[in-house]
Amino acid sequence: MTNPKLEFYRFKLKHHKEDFKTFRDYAIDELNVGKKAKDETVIKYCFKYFIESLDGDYSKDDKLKKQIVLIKKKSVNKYFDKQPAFNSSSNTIYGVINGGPYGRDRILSDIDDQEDSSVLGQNKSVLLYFYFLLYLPTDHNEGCFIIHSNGVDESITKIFRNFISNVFKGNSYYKVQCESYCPKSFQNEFKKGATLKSMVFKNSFIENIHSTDGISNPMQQYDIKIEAVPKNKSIAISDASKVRTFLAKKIFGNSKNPKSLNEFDETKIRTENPITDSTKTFEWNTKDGEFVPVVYLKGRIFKFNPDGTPDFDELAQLCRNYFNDDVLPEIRPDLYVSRAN
Amino acid sequence: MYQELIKYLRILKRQANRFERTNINNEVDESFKAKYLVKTVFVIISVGFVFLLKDGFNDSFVSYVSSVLSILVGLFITALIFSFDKFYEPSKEENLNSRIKLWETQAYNYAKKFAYITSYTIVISIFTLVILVLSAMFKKETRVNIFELSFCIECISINDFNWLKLFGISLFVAIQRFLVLYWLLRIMYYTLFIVSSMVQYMTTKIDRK
Repeated sequence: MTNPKLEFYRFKLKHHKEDFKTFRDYAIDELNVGKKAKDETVIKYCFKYFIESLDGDYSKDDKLKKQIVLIKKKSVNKYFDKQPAFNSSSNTIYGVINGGPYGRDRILSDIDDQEDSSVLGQNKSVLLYFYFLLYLPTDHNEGCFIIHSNGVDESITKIFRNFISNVFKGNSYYKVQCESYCPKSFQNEFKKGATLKSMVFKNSFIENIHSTDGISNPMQQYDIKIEAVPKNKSIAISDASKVRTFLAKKIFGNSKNPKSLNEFDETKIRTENPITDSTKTFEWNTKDGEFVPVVYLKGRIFKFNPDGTPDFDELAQLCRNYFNDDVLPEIRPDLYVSRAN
Repeated sequence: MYQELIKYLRILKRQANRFERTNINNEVDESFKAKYLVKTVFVIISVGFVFLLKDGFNDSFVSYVSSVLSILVGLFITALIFSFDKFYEPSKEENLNSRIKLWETQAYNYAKKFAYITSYTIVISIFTLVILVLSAMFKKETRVNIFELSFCIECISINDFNWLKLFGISLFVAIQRFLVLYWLLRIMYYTLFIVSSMVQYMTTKIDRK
Protein backbone atom coordinates (compact mmCIF):
# COMPACT_ATOMS: atom_id res chain seq x y z
CA MET A 1 0.00 0.00 0.00
CA THR A 2 1.58 3.25 -1.06
CA ASN A 3 1.39 6.30 1.11
CA PRO A 4 2.48 9.16 -1.16
CA LYS A 5 3.94 12.24 0.44
CA LEU A 6 5.77 15.45 -0.33
CA GLU A 7 9.04 16.47 1.21
CA PHE A 8 10.55 19.94 1.22
CA TYR A 9 14.22 20.88 1.27
CA ARG A 10 16.04 24.19 1.07
CA PHE A 11 19.69 24.80 0.26
CA LYS A 12 22.14 27.69 0.01
CA LEU A 13 24.98 28.10 -2.45
CA LYS A 14 28.34 28.04 -0.67
CA HIS A 15 31.09 29.96 -2.41
CA HIS A 16 34.69 29.45 -1.31
CA LYS A 17 35.20 33.13 -0.56
CA GLU A 18 32.01 35.15 -0.73
CA ASP A 19 29.02 34.65 1.51
CA PHE A 20 26.34 35.66 -0.97
CA LYS A 21 26.37 34.16 -4.43
CA THR A 22 23.25 33.83 -6.52
CA PHE A 23 22.39 31.07 -8.96
CA ARG A 24 23.14 33.60 -11.71
CA ASP A 25 26.66 33.93 -10.27
CA TYR A 26 26.89 30.13 -10.16
CA ALA A 27 25.89 29.90 -13.83
CA ILE A 28 28.43 32.61 -14.75
CA ASP A 29 31.24 31.03 -12.70
CA GLU A 30 30.61 27.37 -13.43
CA LEU A 31 28.42 27.03 -16.52
CA ASN A 32 30.10 29.66 -18.72
CA VAL A 33 27.05 31.89 -19.00
CA GLY A 34 27.75 35.47 -20.12
CA LYS A 35 27.78 38.13 -17.42
CA LYS A 36 25.00 40.11 -19.05
CA ALA A 37 22.86 37.09 -19.88
CA LYS A 38 19.12 37.39 -19.37
CA ASP A 39 17.42 35.48 -16.56
CA GLU A 40 15.84 33.20 -19.15
CA THR A 41 19.27 32.21 -20.47
CA VAL A 42 20.57 31.58 -16.97
CA ILE A 43 17.73 29.26 -16.03
CA LYS A 44 18.00 27.56 -19.44
CA TYR A 45 21.66 26.76 -18.79
CA CYS A 46 20.85 25.56 -15.27
CA PHE A 47 18.15 23.31 -16.70
CA LYS A 48 20.52 21.94 -19.35
CA TYR A 49 23.11 21.28 -16.67
CA PHE A 50 20.53 19.56 -14.45
CA ILE A 51 19.41 17.25 -17.27
CA GLU A 52 23.00 16.46 -18.26
CA SER A 53 23.83 15.72 -14.63
CA LEU A 54 21.07 13.10 -14.52
CA ASP A 55 23.37 11.05 -16.78
CA GLY A 56 26.42 11.91 -14.70
CA ASP A 57 28.19 10.43 -11.68
CA TYR A 58 26.02 11.99 -9.00
CA SER A 59 22.84 10.40 -10.26
CA LYS A 60 23.96 7.02 -8.91
CA ASP A 61 24.69 6.25 -5.29
CA ASP A 62 26.53 3.02 -4.59
CA LYS A 63 25.85 3.22 -0.86
CA LEU A 64 22.11 3.72 -1.27
CA LYS A 65 22.15 1.44 -4.34
CA LYS A 66 19.80 3.82 -6.04
CA GLN A 67 19.79 5.82 -9.21
CA ILE A 68 17.90 8.76 -10.64
CA VAL A 69 17.66 9.16 -14.36
CA LEU A 70 15.47 10.45 -17.13
CA ILE A 71 14.43 7.71 -19.53
CA LYS A 72 14.20 9.39 -22.89
CA LYS A 73 12.60 6.44 -24.70
CA LYS A 74 9.04 7.47 -25.40
CA SER A 75 7.87 3.85 -25.69
CA VAL A 76 9.18 3.00 -22.21
CA ASN A 77 8.63 6.19 -20.25
CA LYS A 78 4.89 6.36 -19.67
CA TYR A 79 5.10 9.96 -18.52
CA PHE A 80 7.50 11.16 -21.18
CA ASP A 81 5.25 14.14 -21.88
CA LYS A 82 5.73 15.22 -18.25
CA GLN A 83 9.51 15.12 -18.44
CA PRO A 84 11.35 18.00 -16.74
CA ALA A 85 10.89 21.49 -18.13
CA PHE A 86 11.76 24.97 -16.89
CA ASN A 87 9.90 28.20 -16.32
CA SER A 88 12.13 31.24 -16.48
CA SER A 89 9.62 33.65 -14.94
CA SER A 90 9.31 31.58 -11.76
CA ASN A 91 12.92 30.23 -11.91
CA THR A 92 11.69 26.66 -11.53
CA ILE A 93 12.54 23.31 -13.05
CA TYR A 94 9.85 20.70 -12.61
CA GLY A 95 8.63 17.42 -14.01
CA VAL A 96 8.61 13.66 -13.63
CA ILE A 97 11.93 11.85 -13.41
CA ASN A 98 12.69 8.18 -12.90
CA GLY A 99 14.48 6.59 -10.05
CA GLY A 100 14.85 3.37 -8.16
CA PRO A 101 17.12 0.69 -6.72
CA TYR A 102 19.81 -1.40 -8.38
CA GLY A 103 22.66 -3.61 -7.22
CA ARG A 104 20.70 -6.75 -6.32
CA ASP A 105 20.41 -10.06 -8.15
CA ARG A 106 16.78 -10.26 -9.05
CA ILE A 107 14.47 -12.14 -11.34
CA LEU A 108 12.07 -10.52 -13.72
CA SER A 109 9.02 -12.72 -13.91
CA ASP A 110 5.52 -12.62 -15.30
CA ILE A 111 3.03 -13.05 -12.45
CA ASP A 112 0.83 -15.27 -14.62
CA ASP A 113 3.50 -17.16 -16.47
CA GLN A 114 6.54 -18.32 -14.49
CA GLU A 115 8.15 -19.64 -17.66
CA ASP A 116 8.38 -16.09 -18.86
CA SER A 117 11.14 -15.02 -16.54
CA SER A 118 14.60 -13.62 -16.94
CA VAL A 119 17.57 -12.48 -14.90
CA LEU A 120 17.69 -8.92 -13.67
CA GLY A 121 21.36 -8.38 -12.94
CA GLN A 122 23.01 -6.11 -10.41
CA ASN A 123 23.58 -3.49 -13.07
CA LYS A 124 19.86 -3.21 -13.78
CA SER A 125 17.71 -0.74 -11.90
CA VAL A 126 13.98 -0.85 -11.35
CA LEU A 127 12.66 2.63 -11.97
CA LEU A 128 9.53 4.39 -10.83
CA TYR A 129 8.13 7.82 -11.55
CA PHE A 130 8.66 10.73 -9.19
CA TYR A 131 7.61 14.34 -9.46
CA PHE A 132 9.87 17.18 -8.34
CA LEU A 133 9.91 20.96 -8.39
CA LEU A 134 13.27 22.68 -8.10
CA TYR A 135 13.60 26.42 -7.46
CA LEU A 136 16.82 28.11 -8.55
CA PRO A 137 16.40 31.88 -8.13
CA THR A 138 18.70 33.80 -10.44
CA ASP A 139 18.87 36.74 -8.03
CA HIS A 140 19.19 34.86 -4.75
CA ASN A 141 21.53 32.43 -2.98
CA GLU A 142 18.94 30.04 -1.57
CA GLY A 143 16.91 27.55 -3.56
CA CYS A 144 14.60 24.75 -2.63
CA PHE A 145 12.95 21.64 -3.93
CA ILE A 146 9.79 19.68 -3.38
CA ILE A 147 10.02 15.97 -4.03
CA HIS A 148 7.32 13.35 -4.05
CA SER A 149 7.74 9.80 -2.78
CA ASN A 150 5.42 6.87 -2.36
CA GLY A 151 6.63 5.70 1.04
CA VAL A 152 9.87 4.62 2.70
CA ASP A 153 10.72 1.95 0.12
CA GLU A 154 9.54 3.79 -2.93
CA SER A 155 11.52 6.96 -2.49
CA ILE A 156 14.32 8.83 -4.25
CA THR A 157 14.39 11.62 -1.69
CA LYS A 158 17.81 10.75 -0.25
CA ILE A 159 19.52 10.27 -3.57
CA PHE A 160 17.87 13.38 -5.02
CA ARG A 161 19.04 15.34 -2.00
CA ASN A 162 22.61 14.04 -2.43
CA PHE A 163 22.37 14.73 -6.15
CA ILE A 164 21.41 18.38 -5.56
CA SER A 165 24.16 18.72 -2.93
CA ASN A 166 26.79 17.56 -5.41
CA VAL A 167 25.43 19.16 -8.55
CA PHE A 168 25.86 22.67 -7.13
CA LYS A 169 29.42 21.96 -6.16
CA GLY A 170 32.00 23.53 -8.46
CA ASN A 171 35.50 24.91 -8.82
CA SER A 172 34.65 27.81 -6.54
CA TYR A 173 31.69 26.29 -4.71
CA TYR A 174 31.41 23.78 -1.91
CA LYS A 175 28.74 21.10 -1.75
CA VAL A 176 25.43 22.56 -0.70
CA GLN A 177 23.65 21.32 2.37
CA CYS A 178 20.00 20.46 1.86
CA GLU A 179 17.96 21.08 4.98
CA SER A 180 14.67 19.35 5.49
CA TYR A 181 11.96 21.87 6.20
CA CYS A 182 8.24 22.27 6.04
CA PRO A 183 6.28 25.47 5.42
CA LYS A 184 4.85 26.93 8.61
CA SER A 185 1.35 26.86 7.18
CA PHE A 186 1.41 23.03 7.20
CA GLN A 187 2.69 22.98 10.74
CA ASN A 188 0.00 25.39 11.89
CA GLU A 189 -2.66 23.53 9.95
CA PHE A 190 -1.97 20.36 11.84
CA LYS A 191 -1.08 21.84 15.20
CA LYS A 192 -4.57 23.30 15.38
CA GLY A 193 -6.50 20.79 17.45
CA ALA A 194 -3.80 18.11 17.36
CA THR A 195 -2.89 16.12 20.44
CA LEU A 196 0.23 14.18 21.33
CA LYS A 197 0.01 10.47 20.66
CA SER A 198 3.57 9.44 21.32
CA MET A 199 7.14 10.67 21.31
CA VAL A 200 9.93 8.44 20.03
CA PHE A 201 13.64 8.95 20.65
CA LYS A 202 15.92 6.89 18.44
CA ASN A 203 19.65 6.34 18.49
CA SER A 204 22.13 3.75 17.27
CA PHE A 205 24.50 2.41 19.89
CA ILE A 206 27.65 0.41 19.81
CA GLU A 207 28.54 -1.23 23.11
CA ASN A 208 31.74 0.34 24.40
CA ILE A 209 32.91 -2.48 26.67
CA HIS A 210 34.76 -5.61 25.63
CA SER A 211 32.93 -8.85 25.58
CA THR A 212 33.92 -12.40 24.80
CA ASP A 213 32.17 -12.22 21.43
CA GLY A 214 34.24 -9.25 20.34
CA ILE A 215 33.13 -6.10 18.59
CA SER A 216 32.24 -7.91 15.40
CA ASN A 217 29.21 -9.47 17.00
CA PRO A 218 26.27 -7.81 15.26
CA MET A 219 24.16 -8.24 18.38
CA GLN A 220 26.28 -5.59 20.04
CA GLN A 221 24.99 -2.92 17.77
CA TYR A 222 21.58 -1.68 18.63
CA ASP A 223 18.99 0.73 17.44
CA ILE A 224 17.47 1.96 20.67
CA LYS A 225 13.98 3.29 20.42
CA ILE A 226 12.34 4.82 23.47
CA GLU A 227 8.70 5.61 23.06
CA ALA A 228 6.77 7.75 25.51
CA VAL A 229 3.01 7.38 25.22
CA PRO A 230 1.02 9.84 27.32
CA LYS A 231 -1.88 8.40 29.27
CA ASN A 232 -3.55 11.75 29.08
CA LYS A 233 -4.84 11.83 25.52
CA SER A 234 -5.55 15.54 25.49
CA ILE A 235 -2.03 17.02 25.52
CA ALA A 236 -2.09 19.75 22.91
CA ILE A 237 0.66 19.65 20.32
CA SER A 238 1.65 23.17 21.36
CA ASP A 239 2.73 21.67 24.69
CA ALA A 240 4.88 19.02 22.99
CA SER A 241 8.03 21.08 23.50
CA LYS A 242 7.44 21.04 27.28
CA VAL A 243 7.04 17.24 27.18
CA ARG A 244 10.19 16.95 25.12
CA THR A 245 12.15 19.19 27.50
CA PHE A 246 11.02 17.02 30.41
CA LEU A 247 11.85 13.73 28.69
CA ALA A 248 15.09 14.99 27.15
CA LYS A 249 16.69 15.20 30.59
CA LYS A 250 16.11 11.49 31.20
CA ILE A 251 19.11 9.25 30.85
CA PHE A 252 19.66 5.99 29.03
CA GLY A 253 22.70 3.77 29.43
CA ASN A 254 24.71 2.89 32.49
CA SER A 255 26.26 5.00 35.21
CA LYS A 256 29.65 5.10 33.45
CA ASN A 257 28.28 6.02 30.08
CA PRO A 258 25.03 7.90 30.46
CA LYS A 259 23.36 9.42 27.43
CA SER A 260 20.47 11.81 27.79
CA LEU A 261 17.56 11.46 25.41
CA ASN A 262 18.39 14.96 24.24
CA GLU A 263 21.55 13.55 22.64
CA PHE A 264 19.64 10.96 20.65
CA ASP A 265 19.88 11.40 16.91
CA GLU A 266 16.22 11.47 16.15
CA THR A 267 13.06 12.60 17.88
CA LYS A 268 9.78 11.81 16.23
CA ILE A 269 6.39 12.91 17.39
CA ARG A 270 3.27 11.08 16.47
CA THR A 271 0.16 13.15 16.71
CA GLU A 272 -3.49 12.64 16.13
CA ASN A 273 -6.07 15.19 15.26
CA PRO A 274 -9.61 14.28 16.32
CA ILE A 275 -10.99 17.19 14.30
CA THR A 276 -9.52 16.14 10.98
CA ASP A 277 -9.36 12.49 12.06
CA SER A 278 -5.78 12.16 10.89
CA THR A 279 -2.58 10.83 12.36
CA LYS A 280 0.69 12.41 11.38
CA THR A 281 4.35 12.04 12.13
CA PHE A 282 6.55 15.04 12.81
CA GLU A 283 10.30 14.99 13.01
CA TRP A 284 11.76 17.27 15.60
CA ASN A 285 14.32 19.60 14.12
CA THR A 286 16.53 19.90 17.20
CA LYS A 287 18.57 22.68 15.61
CA ASP A 288 15.68 25.08 15.27
CA GLY A 289 13.40 23.45 17.85
CA GLU A 290 10.66 23.15 15.27
CA PHE A 291 8.47 20.38 13.95
CA VAL A 292 9.01 19.14 10.46
CA PRO A 293 5.76 17.46 9.54
CA VAL A 294 5.43 14.97 6.77
CA VAL A 295 2.92 16.16 4.17
CA TYR A 296 0.95 13.12 3.07
CA LEU A 297 -0.96 13.48 -0.16
CA LYS A 298 -3.98 11.52 0.97
CA GLY A 299 -6.76 14.05 1.34
CA ARG A 300 -4.84 16.64 -0.65
CA ILE A 301 -4.95 14.83 -3.98
CA PHE A 302 -8.11 13.16 -5.18
CA LYS A 303 -7.04 11.51 -8.41
CA PHE A 304 -4.74 8.51 -8.19
CA ASN A 305 -3.35 6.28 -10.90
CA PRO A 306 -4.41 2.58 -10.86
CA ASP A 307 -1.04 1.66 -9.28
CA GLY A 308 -1.73 3.92 -6.30
CA THR A 309 0.62 6.71 -7.35
CA PRO A 310 -0.82 10.22 -7.49
CA ASP A 311 -2.01 11.70 -10.75
CA PHE A 312 0.94 13.74 -11.96
CA ASP A 313 -1.11 16.59 -13.42
CA GLU A 314 -2.91 17.13 -10.12
CA LEU A 315 0.35 16.70 -8.21
CA ALA A 316 2.08 19.27 -10.43
CA GLN A 317 -0.72 21.76 -9.79
CA LEU A 318 -0.61 21.06 -6.05
CA CYS A 319 3.17 21.54 -5.92
CA ARG A 320 2.89 24.78 -7.89
CA ASN A 321 0.24 26.06 -5.46
CA TYR A 322 2.28 25.05 -2.41
CA PHE A 323 5.35 26.61 -3.93
CA ASN A 324 3.67 29.94 -4.70
CA ASP A 325 1.48 30.22 -1.59
CA ASP A 326 3.52 28.57 1.16
CA VAL A 327 7.14 27.99 0.19
CA LEU A 328 8.05 31.20 -1.63
CA PRO A 329 6.84 33.62 1.08
CA GLU A 330 9.05 31.79 3.59
CA ILE A 331 12.13 31.32 1.45
CA ARG A 332 11.97 34.71 -0.24
CA PRO A 333 10.42 37.22 2.16
CA ASP A 334 12.35 39.91 0.28
CA LEU A 335 10.05 39.44 -2.72
CA TYR A 336 7.16 40.66 -0.61
CA VAL A 337 8.83 43.91 0.45
CA SER A 338 7.28 46.66 -1.60
CA ARG A 339 7.96 50.32 -2.07
CA ALA A 340 5.91 52.72 0.00
CA ASN A 341 3.43 54.89 -1.91
CA MET B 1 -1.55 79.29 -2.72
CA TYR B 2 -3.72 79.13 0.37
CA GLN B 3 -5.61 76.13 -0.95
CA GLU B 4 -2.40 74.45 -2.03
CA LEU B 5 -0.86 75.03 1.37
CA ILE B 6 -3.82 73.44 3.13
CA LYS B 7 -3.58 70.50 0.74
CA TYR B 8 0.17 70.07 1.28
CA LEU B 9 -0.19 70.26 5.05
CA ARG B 10 -3.01 67.71 5.06
CA ILE B 11 -0.97 65.30 2.92
CA LEU B 12 2.04 65.81 5.17
CA LYS B 13 0.04 65.12 8.33
CA ARG B 14 -1.61 62.02 6.88
CA GLN B 15 1.63 60.58 5.49
CA ALA B 16 3.64 61.37 8.63
CA ASN B 17 1.05 59.62 10.76
CA ARG B 18 1.09 56.62 8.42
CA PHE B 19 4.88 56.45 8.16
CA GLU B 20 5.14 56.61 11.92
CA ARG B 21 3.59 53.13 11.89
CA THR B 22 5.32 51.90 8.74
CA ASN B 23 8.62 50.07 8.88
CA ILE B 24 11.27 50.06 6.16
CA ASN B 25 9.69 46.92 4.66
CA ASN B 26 6.51 48.96 4.03
CA GLU B 27 4.56 46.97 6.61
CA VAL B 28 2.01 49.20 8.30
CA ASP B 29 1.19 48.38 11.91
CA GLU B 30 -2.57 48.88 12.10
CA SER B 31 -2.88 47.81 15.72
CA PHE B 32 -4.68 49.99 18.27
CA LYS B 33 -1.46 50.18 20.30
CA ALA B 34 0.56 51.50 17.38
CA LYS B 35 -2.09 54.05 16.50
CA TYR B 36 -2.98 55.47 19.88
CA LEU B 37 -0.60 54.40 22.68
CA VAL B 38 2.04 57.13 22.31
CA LYS B 39 -0.57 59.80 21.59
CA THR B 40 -2.61 58.81 24.64
CA VAL B 41 0.45 58.87 26.90
CA PHE B 42 1.41 62.30 25.57
CA VAL B 43 -2.15 63.62 26.07
CA ILE B 44 -2.16 62.37 29.68
CA ILE B 45 1.25 63.94 30.41
CA SER B 46 0.27 67.23 28.75
CA VAL B 47 -3.04 67.47 30.63
CA GLY B 48 -1.17 66.70 33.87
CA PHE B 49 1.28 69.52 33.22
CA VAL B 50 -1.53 71.93 32.33
CA PHE B 51 -2.89 71.33 35.83
CA LEU B 52 0.56 71.82 37.38
CA LEU B 53 1.37 74.98 35.41
CA LYS B 54 -1.22 77.17 37.10
CA ASP B 55 0.30 80.46 35.96
CA GLY B 56 1.25 79.26 32.49
CA PHE B 57 4.66 79.50 30.89
CA ASN B 58 7.14 81.91 32.41
CA ASP B 59 9.47 84.12 30.34
CA SER B 60 12.51 81.91 30.67
CA PHE B 61 10.54 78.87 29.49
CA VAL B 62 9.26 80.77 26.45
CA SER B 63 12.71 82.04 25.47
CA TYR B 64 14.37 78.65 26.17
CA VAL B 65 11.84 76.66 24.12
CA SER B 66 11.85 79.22 21.30
CA SER B 67 15.64 79.01 21.02
CA VAL B 68 15.62 75.20 21.04
CA LEU B 69 12.86 75.00 18.45
CA SER B 70 14.53 77.55 16.18
CA ILE B 71 17.75 75.54 16.25
CA LEU B 72 15.86 72.31 15.59
CA VAL B 73 13.94 73.80 12.66
CA GLY B 74 17.20 75.01 11.11
CA LEU B 75 18.87 71.65 11.67
CA PHE B 76 15.99 69.61 10.31
CA ILE B 77 15.63 71.72 7.18
CA THR B 78 19.35 71.22 6.48
CA ALA B 79 19.04 67.47 7.18
CA LEU B 80 16.05 67.26 4.87
CA ILE B 81 17.84 68.96 2.00
CA PHE B 82 21.01 66.92 2.43
CA SER B 83 19.11 63.64 2.75
CA PHE B 84 17.38 64.23 -0.58
CA ASP B 85 19.84 62.27 -2.68
CA LYS B 86 21.89 60.67 0.09
CA PHE B 87 19.59 58.01 1.45
CA TYR B 88 18.27 56.59 -1.75
CA GLU B 89 20.51 56.10 -4.74
CA PRO B 90 19.14 53.74 -7.39
CA SER B 91 21.78 51.35 -8.66
CA LYS B 92 22.80 51.67 -12.28
CA GLU B 93 23.84 48.04 -12.55
CA GLU B 94 21.74 45.42 -14.29
CA ASN B 95 20.69 42.05 -12.87
CA LEU B 96 20.84 43.05 -9.24
CA ASN B 97 20.78 40.30 -6.66
CA SER B 98 18.03 39.98 -4.09
CA ARG B 99 20.14 41.49 -1.34
CA ILE B 100 20.84 44.71 -3.25
CA LYS B 101 17.23 44.90 -4.45
CA LEU B 102 16.06 44.61 -0.84
CA TRP B 103 18.55 47.23 0.35
CA GLU B 104 17.37 49.58 -2.37
CA THR B 105 13.71 49.11 -1.51
CA GLN B 106 14.41 49.58 2.20
CA ALA B 107 16.50 52.69 1.47
CA TYR B 108 13.67 54.08 -0.65
CA ASN B 109 11.11 53.43 2.10
CA TYR B 110 13.39 54.88 4.77
CA ALA B 111 14.08 58.00 2.65
CA LYS B 112 10.34 58.60 2.40
CA LYS B 113 9.73 57.95 6.08
CA PHE B 114 12.61 60.24 7.03
CA ALA B 115 11.39 63.02 4.74
CA TYR B 116 7.77 62.93 5.95
CA ILE B 117 8.58 62.65 9.65
CA THR B 118 11.29 65.30 9.54
CA SER B 119 9.05 67.70 7.60
CA TYR B 120 6.17 67.09 9.97
CA THR B 121 8.48 67.78 12.92
CA ILE B 122 9.49 71.09 11.30
CA VAL B 123 5.82 72.02 10.74
CA ILE B 124 4.75 71.28 14.31
CA SER B 125 7.84 73.09 15.59
CA ILE B 126 6.75 76.17 13.60
CA PHE B 127 3.19 75.89 14.97
CA THR B 128 4.59 75.57 18.50
CA LEU B 129 6.75 78.66 17.97
CA VAL B 130 3.75 80.60 16.66
CA ILE B 131 1.47 79.83 19.60
CA LEU B 132 4.35 80.31 22.02
CA VAL B 133 4.95 83.80 20.62
CA LEU B 134 1.51 84.72 21.96
CA SER B 135 2.81 84.08 25.48
CA ALA B 136 5.48 86.70 24.86
CA MET B 137 3.08 89.11 23.18
CA PHE B 138 0.28 88.89 25.72
CA LYS B 139 2.16 88.18 28.92
CA LYS B 140 -0.57 89.25 31.31
CA GLU B 141 -3.43 87.44 29.56
CA THR B 142 -1.58 84.19 28.95
CA ARG B 143 -0.41 83.97 32.56
CA VAL B 144 -3.89 83.93 33.96
CA ASN B 145 -4.48 81.20 36.53
CA ILE B 146 -7.48 79.39 35.07
CA PHE B 147 -7.93 77.27 38.17
CA GLU B 148 -8.80 80.33 40.25
CA LEU B 149 -11.71 81.12 37.98
CA SER B 150 -15.18 79.68 38.36
CA PHE B 151 -18.16 79.63 36.09
CA CYS B 152 -20.92 82.02 37.22
CA ILE B 153 -24.23 81.97 35.31
CA GLU B 154 -25.58 85.02 37.21
CA CYS B 155 -22.65 87.17 36.05
CA ILE B 156 -23.64 86.80 32.39
CA SER B 157 -24.96 90.12 31.16
CA ILE B 158 -25.90 91.46 27.76
CA ASN B 159 -24.54 94.95 28.45
CA ASP B 160 -21.09 93.90 29.53
CA PHE B 161 -19.00 91.44 27.50
CA ASN B 162 -16.09 91.14 29.93
CA TRP B 163 -17.27 87.70 30.98
CA LEU B 164 -17.09 86.54 27.36
CA LYS B 165 -13.59 87.97 26.95
CA LEU B 166 -12.42 86.28 30.13
CA PHE B 167 -14.01 83.00 29.10
CA GLY B 168 -12.40 83.21 25.64
CA ILE B 169 -8.98 83.99 27.07
CA SER B 170 -9.22 81.19 29.64
CA LEU B 171 -10.27 78.68 27.00
CA PHE B 172 -7.51 79.78 24.63
CA VAL B 173 -4.89 79.71 27.40
CA ALA B 174 -5.89 76.16 28.39
CA ILE B 175 -5.72 74.98 24.77
CA GLN B 176 -2.46 76.84 24.14
CA ARG B 177 -0.76 75.32 27.19
CA PHE B 178 -1.95 71.84 26.26
CA LEU B 179 -0.88 72.15 22.60
CA VAL B 180 2.56 73.55 23.41
CA LEU B 181 3.26 70.69 25.81
CA TYR B 182 1.74 68.03 23.57
CA TRP B 183 3.63 69.21 20.48
CA LEU B 184 6.86 69.55 22.42
CA LEU B 185 6.55 65.92 23.48
CA ARG B 186 5.91 64.87 19.89
CA ILE B 187 8.84 66.94 18.61
CA MET B 188 11.05 65.27 21.19
CA TYR B 189 9.74 61.83 20.21
CA TYR B 190 10.28 62.44 16.48
CA THR B 191 13.71 63.97 17.07
CA LEU B 192 14.82 60.89 18.97
CA PHE B 193 13.52 58.68 16.16
CA ILE B 194 15.15 60.77 13.41
CA VAL B 195 18.56 60.85 15.07
CA SER B 196 18.66 57.19 16.17
CA SER B 197 17.33 55.77 12.88
CA MET B 198 19.62 57.98 10.80
CA VAL B 199 22.68 56.77 12.70
CA GLN B 200 21.55 53.15 12.30
CA TYR B 201 20.94 53.62 8.60
CA MET B 202 24.29 55.29 7.99
CA THR B 203 26.38 52.79 9.94
CA THR B 204 24.62 49.88 8.24
CA LYS B 205 25.29 51.43 4.85
CA ILE B 206 29.00 51.83 5.67
CA ASP B 207 29.17 48.19 6.83
CA ARG B 208 27.56 46.99 3.60
CA LYS B 209 30.25 48.68 1.54
